[in-house]
Amino acid sequence: MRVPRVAQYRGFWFASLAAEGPSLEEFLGPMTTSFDDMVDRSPSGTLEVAGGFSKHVYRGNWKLVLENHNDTLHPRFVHASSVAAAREQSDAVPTDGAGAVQIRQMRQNGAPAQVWEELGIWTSEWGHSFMGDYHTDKAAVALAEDDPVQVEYRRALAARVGEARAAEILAVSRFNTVVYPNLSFMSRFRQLRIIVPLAVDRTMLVTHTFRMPGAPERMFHDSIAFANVVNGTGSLVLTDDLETYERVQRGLESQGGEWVDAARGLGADAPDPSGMLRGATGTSEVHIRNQFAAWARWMTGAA
Amino acid sequence: MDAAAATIADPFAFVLHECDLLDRWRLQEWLSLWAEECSYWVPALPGQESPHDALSHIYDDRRLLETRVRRFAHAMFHAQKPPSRTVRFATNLRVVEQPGAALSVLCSLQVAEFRNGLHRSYLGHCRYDLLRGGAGGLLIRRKRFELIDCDAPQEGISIIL
Repeated sequence: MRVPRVAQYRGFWFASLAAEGPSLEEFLGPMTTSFDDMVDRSPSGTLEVAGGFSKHVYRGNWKLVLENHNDTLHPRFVHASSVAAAREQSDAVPTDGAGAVQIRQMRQNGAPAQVWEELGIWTSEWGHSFMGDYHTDKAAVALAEDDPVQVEYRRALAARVGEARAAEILAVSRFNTVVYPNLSFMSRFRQLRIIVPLAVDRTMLVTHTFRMPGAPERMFHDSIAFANVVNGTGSLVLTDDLETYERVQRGLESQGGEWVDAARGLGADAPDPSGMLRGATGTSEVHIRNQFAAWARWMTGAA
Repeated sequence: MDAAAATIADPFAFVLHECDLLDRWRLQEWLSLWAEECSYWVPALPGQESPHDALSHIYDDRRLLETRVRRFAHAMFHAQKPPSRTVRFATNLRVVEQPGAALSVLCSLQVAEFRNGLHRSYLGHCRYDLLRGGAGGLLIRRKRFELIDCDAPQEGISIIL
């Protein structure tokens, strides 16, 4: 199939089935800064597609996962079982590193309400959004700042860009970025998901991760472990997300309610200096309202 | 019965016992079959050699395996409400002796699952790397279950395979 337009940003290639429309950079808008975040963190200034891929499916509409990725209220409820199991886990038990990464992430999902409320959630034209990072322990995936691997990584990054720029790069604190309607990635953690609708009630996600050439290999191994906890089919975390999507889908199919409420924070969203609309608190559903605004625009052909 | 089971020395009987404990949801006893340093692995790619350089459906070391088991007791494990019923078939069992006190069992494994009105089947090649323990019994050092469709889209796997 020949697509009318292809374009790339920082090495990420996009194809458009529309011969006319906004350019890639116009379409991505402020989301380009999340690609910058992901690539700039690499000591070589490049990323390598590595680690294979995994695919998972759920019995629900494709919108559900996109509404979830920047939702900060659900972890305390949807992920309660893995948060509790991880909290009770003894750190004296052997790990080869992979389990420690996953358990750390589960514990982080149990962050107090205040952490989530104070997070930033930003949206931009065409349905896109990103949220601030809730990893308050200053750890890049699994390792403390003074860990030798982290020290080596920071040194390698500073060697290319200088100390000041390295500090600037590492200060970016961002978790999920959703490029509506079919891409979601974690710039700080080098995780990328492509969302593929298979049917009205069936959706596939293809998961990729990246290696930072020039960074300690241990960081790549940690990225793999992180991928397994946030995207692994048998993850202690993801399985409860997938179950929830399926229950929501069944609820919607029941025609039991006329309206789906996405009003959390409605009326308090406000433009910030970057021009993006920001939720008044981290648990605002501003990102969902923004997605539906984009959807309505496409479906009605409004300019 | 279960104290005796913990010291099963015959590798085929040991594997069938392991399957039986999972089918009967005796997860604490199941955990006691594992060595202090161990891994439970369901790769996402055929022939995947290392769990550390490619994505997996599941890769647990001992610490994470304990967390996985503990989660089943939690009231808000949504993906196990209602719980699954399972039955396992392990066949074509072969023993491969390894140096020292180690040996491996290779088998064809099928896990049939029924939950929420849906049937599901996991089918593949399973390898158990075992250690002969001090009391004449066996311990699992590594279990690697490669599904024949591991690189195809999978729904969430909420049970232990």
